[in-house]
Amino acid sequence: MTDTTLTLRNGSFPAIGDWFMERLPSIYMMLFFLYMFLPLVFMMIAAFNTTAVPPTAFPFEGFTLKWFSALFANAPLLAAIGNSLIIGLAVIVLSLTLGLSGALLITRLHARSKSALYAFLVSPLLTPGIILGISTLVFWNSAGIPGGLFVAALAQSTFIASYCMLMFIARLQRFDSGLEEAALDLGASHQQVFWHVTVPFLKPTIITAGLIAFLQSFENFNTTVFAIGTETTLTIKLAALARKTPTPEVNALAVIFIALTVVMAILYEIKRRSDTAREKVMAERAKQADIEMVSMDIDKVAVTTAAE
Amino acid sequence: MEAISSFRNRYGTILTTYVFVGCAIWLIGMIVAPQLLMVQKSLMYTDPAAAAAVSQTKSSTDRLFVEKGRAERELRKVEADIQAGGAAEVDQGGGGAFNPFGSSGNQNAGASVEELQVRRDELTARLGQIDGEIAANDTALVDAEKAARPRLGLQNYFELFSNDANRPIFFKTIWSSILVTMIALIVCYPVAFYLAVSASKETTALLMLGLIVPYWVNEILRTFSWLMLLSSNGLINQALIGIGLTDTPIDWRSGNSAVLIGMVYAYILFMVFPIYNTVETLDKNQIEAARDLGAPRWLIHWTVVIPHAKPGIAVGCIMTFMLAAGSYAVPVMLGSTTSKWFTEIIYDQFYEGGNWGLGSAYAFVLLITCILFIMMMMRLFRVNLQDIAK
Repeated sequence: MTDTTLTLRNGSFPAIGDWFMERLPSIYMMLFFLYMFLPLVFMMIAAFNTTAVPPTAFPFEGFTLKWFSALFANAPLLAAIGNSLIIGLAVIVLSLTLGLSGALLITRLHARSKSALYAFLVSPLLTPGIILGISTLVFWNSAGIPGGLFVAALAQSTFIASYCMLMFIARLQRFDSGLEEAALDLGASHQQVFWHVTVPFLKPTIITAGLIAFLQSFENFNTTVFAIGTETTLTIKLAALARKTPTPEVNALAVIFIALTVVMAILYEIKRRSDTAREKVMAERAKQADIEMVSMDIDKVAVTTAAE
Repeated sequence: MEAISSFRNRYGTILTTYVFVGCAIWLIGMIVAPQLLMVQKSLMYTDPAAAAAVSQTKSSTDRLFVEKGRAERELRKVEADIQAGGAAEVDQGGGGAFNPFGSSGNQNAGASVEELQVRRDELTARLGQIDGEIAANDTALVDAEKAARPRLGLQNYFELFSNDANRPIFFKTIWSSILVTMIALIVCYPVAFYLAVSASKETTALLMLGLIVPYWVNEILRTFSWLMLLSSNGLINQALIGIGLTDTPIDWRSGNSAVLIGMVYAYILFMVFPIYNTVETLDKNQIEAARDLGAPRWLIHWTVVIPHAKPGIAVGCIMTFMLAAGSYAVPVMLGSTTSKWFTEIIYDQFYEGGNWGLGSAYAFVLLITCILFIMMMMRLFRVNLQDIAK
């Protein structure tokens, strides 16, 4: 065992060697988390510091909330948030529609071209974002439509739809197509089957995929910056502001963003836990039902044999 | 076609139409056609000398028209003065003689009719000359525009490799992205392993939740946090000066170091999650067995964990490399004019008065580089696309 050899090697200080080797992974993880979080923490502290330009966490000269009110008075920034929201909503609709069509085709098509189709539809995820922005810009520009909100929404949907598709595929693989067949056998039309069987089954994924599509769109910079033309979005405005004349308004926005992220992460975790708990209950109930059914069968067999 | 009809039998006309039309719009209208058009654009080459000649001729014509207008105005004035039998002594505007920006009227203040007639002949001759020059410019412009018309050819690609400013930036971008990928892999493997194997289930859930937060924080904000830390009076310089390692603040942003530090930070979590996902599926008994059989720690990793984690490592490397090589946010915020990234060169071609053909060619070269990297990783780790998309 490694631990014993180590003890022997560090003969004179076995205790220190052991103590260190035992805790090395935890120390490493602690350092990693410090590395991940300290920059964000400093960025948030600077949002409450009275020092103006450039924003800094230390020396902390006094607590203030004025950067938050300055942020809410910053009209161009608020207009940029409006643009981001418009693009985000368009991306939700486009990505869910396209992603679901791709997922349905891939999970239900029985053709050899399936894997090629799959490769093409996930390829935007492996393409640098700027390439998607450029190609969409060039494409629509040749049709006389310059870069703007429309082109940006399309460019983003190209790859966000792939995310949605992968999520739908994962869900559809657990779908029992027997349900659809049963509904058809019972006389439902194809549309009724889709709206009353397939869509309800996909609903949780539609919600999470839509949320992720919106977040991806809202956060996107590399694709948008090429496709947006002379318009602007929040991330683009933020990058320009942070690069040229950083003011603690950027930090104030960062505080709001991080707070929202933390809240959403916690909500997600709560939902995940309740989902696993519910699944456990459902599995238990199904098992119980199976047992009851088996015992009913046994009763039936007993009844029939008794009758004979 | 057969596939479509069997699909239709199974799912009905409306759903079939939606599925096939949706996929066609996405696949052809959003993925394939834009890429093809970008490639086509990249093959259209404009001779920069001819383009310069066009704009030069155009501005020369503009100048001539301005001069023509001025001469015509003066001519009218002179002719009016001749009719009146000599120019007025002082310009009516008052103090015109002292006005350095004097209008055309006062140039001939107090001139006799003979002098005015000489001036009129001069102006008429000059006007004729200007008309001739404009006509010559117009014919030259037709030729120059013909020469400056985009032509099909690979010159845009040759340009990158003959351009002594941009070629080194391209290779630097590739090399630096590989470096970022390697650093991220070395840092993240132990993290992913700890999360997947060493930590208890509850700890892992909590730590993963902790990692999701920085993962979802905007790329711009993550980069901005390092912009603050690395600026000349940022915390890192304050600390270095405080412990006496340096007297003058280090200018991280003038070189490539700030960009590299920012990239590792911005994209490191794209390495953690894929590796974690694959290590997590490893049967922990295999590690136990290897340990019981006396394998040292490194050998367990080398022969048990890493082979199992191959698809995750490949995905992590592909994502990190692709994000780093294609990053515009980090270099534009943390870099300076002396540390340009290839994406910034591409951006300049599109938005800073460059040439779209050239920009498209650069973009396509970047895409090809990423595809080659993906194929290399797939070959190296013997994984296929299906593994990657998982």
